[in-house]
Amino acid sequence: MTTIINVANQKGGVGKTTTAVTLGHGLSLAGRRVLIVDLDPQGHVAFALGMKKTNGLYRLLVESEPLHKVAEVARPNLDIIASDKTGEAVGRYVTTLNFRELVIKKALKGSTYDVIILDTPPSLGVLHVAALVASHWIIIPTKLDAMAVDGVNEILRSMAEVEQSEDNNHKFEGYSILPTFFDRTTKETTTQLRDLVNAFGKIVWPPIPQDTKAREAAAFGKTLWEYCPDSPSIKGYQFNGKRAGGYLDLLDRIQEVIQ
Amino acid sequence: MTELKRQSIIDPAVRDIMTNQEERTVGSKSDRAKKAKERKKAANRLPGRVNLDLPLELKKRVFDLAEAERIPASQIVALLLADGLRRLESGDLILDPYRRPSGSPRYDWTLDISSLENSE
Ligand SMILES: Nc1ncnc2c1ncn2[C@@H]1O[C@H](COP(=O)(O)OP(=O)(O)OP(=O)(O)O)[C@@H](O)[C@H]1O
Ligand SMILES: [Mg+2]
Repeated sequence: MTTIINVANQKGGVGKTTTAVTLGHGLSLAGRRVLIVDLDPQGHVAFALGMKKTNGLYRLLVESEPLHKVAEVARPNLDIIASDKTGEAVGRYVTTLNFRELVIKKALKGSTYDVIILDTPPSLGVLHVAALVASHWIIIPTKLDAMAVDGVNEILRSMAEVEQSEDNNHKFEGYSILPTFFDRTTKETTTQLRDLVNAFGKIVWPPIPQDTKAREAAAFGKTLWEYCPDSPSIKGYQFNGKRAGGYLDLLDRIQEVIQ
Repeated sequence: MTELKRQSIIDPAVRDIMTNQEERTVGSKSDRAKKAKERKKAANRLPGRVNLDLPLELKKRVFDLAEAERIPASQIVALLLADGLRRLESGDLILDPYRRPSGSPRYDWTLDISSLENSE
């Protein structure tokens, strides 16, 4: 069975694409068959993997081409559905459909992938809801600023609406909050992490350290595993012989989820 | 699962990171105390004390001479400096033969005195 993971936050620049690409490639390196679907007309998924933006999403959702025809090979075991500015028309088109909230779920049905990761745009449009309806697990990356708790609450609200709607008949298997751009040297970040934990408890997963390598890797079209597997954003924090946080920790946890 | 009630449970790894942060803050506080102590010590040092980098060979020769003459090394250096500066000011000693363009953004020139070091 395919596990569909949605990386979502309506706020921009919180590390959604970095998380989708790093997790996707990490899972494929661990031997899973992975597809990343870029629902964002910015087309950053292809960019981050060193590929060209294409109208893959448009062909999949508007022209109803089959998934296996639209998917492009990015790395061994890793395919993507890329997007580009034609993605803007996708949202408009989907709005006109009768079962618009099911459009992504249907398009991905019967796939042979172990895991599909949906990278979503920083907005709350119809595709945002359609992505939720298609997903088993939600990862909510969030920066640790004063708006973090509010931002997370907003997504949880749309998740609750999705579950309550009888049309969708959907229950999430789970969700987790992923603090990103974590900077242990500033008091602000630590305070915000504490607030987040106070509000959401153990669904707050260990943070991804702030790491200049993340931006560099994306600029070179390399994933963090390729560009700098020893960097803090991958390895997280080490103390007392233990390791916590970073994308390696996320990878371990997600692998438990998709057993 | 999307109830928004307050949850008191915390992921152990997240707790580790938060606790570790606290340890670090405490650590850096004592770091600060240590630095303040060092500054105080530095302030008590004699105002004429300097810390310079010398070619090792030159340094050795100064200390050997100080040892042999039973004179403090500081005073040997002070004598040679005073003598050298006087010669520089009178034009007996010129920098130009030793000048080399510097690769550092902080300086325009460096001095290459290897020709002096070797000729004893
Ligand atoms: N841990 C990190 N440390 C430092 N920079 C990071 C980190 N994660 C991501 N970045 C950089 O921050 C920028 C924004 O990240 P990213 O594109 O993943 O966010 P996003 O949420 O997908 O943004 P958008 O909402 O525009 O889609 C990118 O340049 C990325 O390379
Ligand atoms: Mg993005």
